[in-house]
Amino acid sequence: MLRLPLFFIPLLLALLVGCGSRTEESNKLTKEQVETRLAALSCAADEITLPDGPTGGTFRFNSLETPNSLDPAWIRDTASSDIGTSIHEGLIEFDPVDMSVKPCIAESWEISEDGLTYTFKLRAGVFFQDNPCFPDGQGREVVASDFKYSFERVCDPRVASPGAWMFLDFVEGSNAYRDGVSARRELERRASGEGRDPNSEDRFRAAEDAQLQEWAASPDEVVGFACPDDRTFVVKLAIPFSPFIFRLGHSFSWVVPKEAVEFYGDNFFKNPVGAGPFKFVEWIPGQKVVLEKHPKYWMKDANGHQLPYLDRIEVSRIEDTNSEHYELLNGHLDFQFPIPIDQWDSIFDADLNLKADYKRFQVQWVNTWRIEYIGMLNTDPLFKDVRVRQAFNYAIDREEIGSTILRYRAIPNRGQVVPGSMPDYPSEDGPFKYDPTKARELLAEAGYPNGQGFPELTLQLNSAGRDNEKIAEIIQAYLAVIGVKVQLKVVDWRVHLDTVREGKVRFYRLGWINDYPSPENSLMLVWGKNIPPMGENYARYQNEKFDELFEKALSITDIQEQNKVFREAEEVAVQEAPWLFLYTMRRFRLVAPEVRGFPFNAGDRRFLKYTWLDKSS
Amino acid sequence: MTTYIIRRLLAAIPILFGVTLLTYILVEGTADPEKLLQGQRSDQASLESIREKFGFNDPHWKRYLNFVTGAIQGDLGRSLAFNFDVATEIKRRFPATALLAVTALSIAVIFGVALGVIAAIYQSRWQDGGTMLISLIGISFPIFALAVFLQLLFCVLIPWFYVTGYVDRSWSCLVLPSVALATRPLAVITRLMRSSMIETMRSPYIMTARAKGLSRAAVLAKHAFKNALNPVLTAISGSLAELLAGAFFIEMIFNWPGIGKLGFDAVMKSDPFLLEGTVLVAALIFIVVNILTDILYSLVDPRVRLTH
Repeated sequence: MLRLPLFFIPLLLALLVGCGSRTEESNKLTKEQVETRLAALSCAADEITLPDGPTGGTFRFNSLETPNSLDPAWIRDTASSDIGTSIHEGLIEFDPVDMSVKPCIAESWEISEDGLTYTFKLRAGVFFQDNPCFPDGQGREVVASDFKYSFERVCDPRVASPGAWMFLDFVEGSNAYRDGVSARRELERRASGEGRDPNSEDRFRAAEDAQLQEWAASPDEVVGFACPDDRTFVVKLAIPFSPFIFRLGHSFSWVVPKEAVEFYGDNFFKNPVGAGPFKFVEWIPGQKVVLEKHPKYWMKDANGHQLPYLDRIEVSRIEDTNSEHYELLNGHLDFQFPIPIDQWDSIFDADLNLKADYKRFQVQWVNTWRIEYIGMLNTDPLFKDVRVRQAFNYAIDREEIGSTILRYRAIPNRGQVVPGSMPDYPSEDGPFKYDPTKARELLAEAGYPNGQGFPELTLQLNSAGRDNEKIAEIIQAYLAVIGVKVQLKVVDWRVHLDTVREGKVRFYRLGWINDYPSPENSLMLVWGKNIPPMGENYARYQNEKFDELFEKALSITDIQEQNKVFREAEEVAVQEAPWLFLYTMRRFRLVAPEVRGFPFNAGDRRFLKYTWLDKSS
Repeated sequence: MTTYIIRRLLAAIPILFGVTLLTYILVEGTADPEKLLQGQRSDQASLESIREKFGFNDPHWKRYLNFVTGAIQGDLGRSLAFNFDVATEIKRRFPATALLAVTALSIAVIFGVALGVIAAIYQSRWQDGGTMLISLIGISFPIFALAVFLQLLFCVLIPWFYVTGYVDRSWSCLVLPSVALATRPLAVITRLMRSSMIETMRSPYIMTARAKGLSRAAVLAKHAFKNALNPVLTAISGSLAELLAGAFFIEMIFNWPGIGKLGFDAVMKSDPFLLEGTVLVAALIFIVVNILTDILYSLVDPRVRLTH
């Protein structure tokens, strides 16, 4: 088989990146260079600071996508959660800077020794926003039964919330409640003489009446959610699952008043009521969403000043990133995220300094939780051999991606399943440094000297802009060096996900963004019990030792201790290279000069209650 | 005239069927939209609930039939991704697109006809050359590039207008989008008007009129102008397709809350009902406008008989 010389790669890359690009783009940036340049981008909005003068004003930002819903049970896209974060709140919240767990509506909580019972003490004086759904229009106080109602709503199959997974399987009685609802529906239909419901889940449709009666007898509530009094909310788990506390900071766990859900019915999604710092005012689809300060919001700052500082939030809906950028330049938006790549060269010079026209702006950056990798179907005869998977990992120079296509925006991932920015997690750099010689050796050991006899691979990817293809071409070039031929196949996202999920594709591009800051939410991607259809272990990686450690960690309630065990588990998986690791994303945000108290965190959660506008700047 | 309109409307029915069927096949025949809605962590009970709510378990012929019967009654279903009623949302957005299109078309017609006449009168002089050069640029400039160029020039460098926004922000928001949208049809109309005018002025009856002793201005205004307008009218109906396609870009760039933007959202979210609804309405607009131009055509030129 043809062996490509090493010099071929820069040549190919130069062609890929384009003839018009600057010469330094093909020069690799060292890790130190990148870090020094990033450190030079200081930003006043990064910290939570207290205003020293009068506050108020309107904060304006843009949403590049249309929000789907402002009903917490249905918030699963970023556009909706960016707005929802200001309207709603839950038992806990995440620290705006490091994303660690902080008390919110629950002022404290206790976890029983067996890790099965969580008892939350609710704060007094937390009110829902005023709304006509309440008898006198005045928002009432949030009580424990509101949480029971909101969480049960997410579990209810009639609501069909995409967030049911947050509670199912491990909250006591959650599955029984769900089965009960479905079984009663099926029985009702049969009783009315309409026969078996073709829309029912298979097992209900197939079940005999006796079995259905048994399911239908389950209580019409989730018994694991209990409210002994208005200020105490108890969650009982069926199995120890310590990452549970993180799930309570997710949008699916935000509290809603029953009155509003019943008052607005199908239209609750566009008339949301919550207990967060801002009250919903109006939503004109395709145009804007407007929020206003919630005057009865519970939180005060260190000076005793009531939060939020802002009077109003206006979210516009511009799809075009250039138009969005011009609005920022004209002072009609307070930040832009992400910074459009087309504008990158007019904002920054080659050393990542702001150019003269942009000196007045603040730049924020963060290492996010988004990891990108190439999945290898571990059950495929080709990738069953760990040496092949390792060889692939040694064959790729990840620095190339961060230096060329995703300049500054990709952090090379030499073997991490958990993104490096996870709070309290002892991350370590992975073992897979670029080493083509070692890659060739491993491939030869596996029976493919210089790639001889290795079948031509097809790398399946979805086209998301041009970047996916460009990165795939880099991988193609590097694998060619060790004698592995790769073809690219671009498909639609749904087809991509379906075929990957069904195990029909052995080599595919995929990414993952954590839902909440627990390593569990990343490591479950390689957990043996999470192989489809059960979950998202699409690579079908399986290792007993890993599973044992991972499951052990799930039952440890002390976060530090738990993370140590998670780290051990990660180490086991990484050594066996379940994926071809690529990079984690770094993102940048361009912020207007007067914005303060607006940290950019790894989860990109926008907590605008701390944000204020410094009119003196 | 009434028979003609009825006949044309009847002829439109198979077209609408074709359009809806094609859209249906392209959108719903391919994949399961509910999976997209539920995300990577979907579970069967929730998926079933959604399938039931939106009728995805029915056979395709029944789903298509439901869509068609619903559409006839003005019910286009509920958007899967955004949860709103599609027909209500289209109704709410229609005035925005109509305002943009009508303003752009008015600019294109008024200025296009005027410039075309000027170019024809001053044929081969600098006025003609200048007009033709401008119209050449207008035809060659892609609409999205022109829009961004206008934004950069009149919003950032010389801040006269807002970069984006609808008339509820300020009526001045209408200026740049409609100018950008008008440019191409304006250029086409100018060129057509010029050549049509030149041709008309060479006809024998114009010479006769002049020989009778009518002034040049009277000849131009009373005889030449009206006759020269015919091909321009055809061009207007043709440019409407372009105008609607252009509105798609313009609405996105200027954040104009019209039907084009709605269609964009529908495509991005693979929302079957929203996409079918917007395509159907767009097709309907095309058909209605085509009939209207044909009627107008007959009014301007009585030789054109509507029955043919």
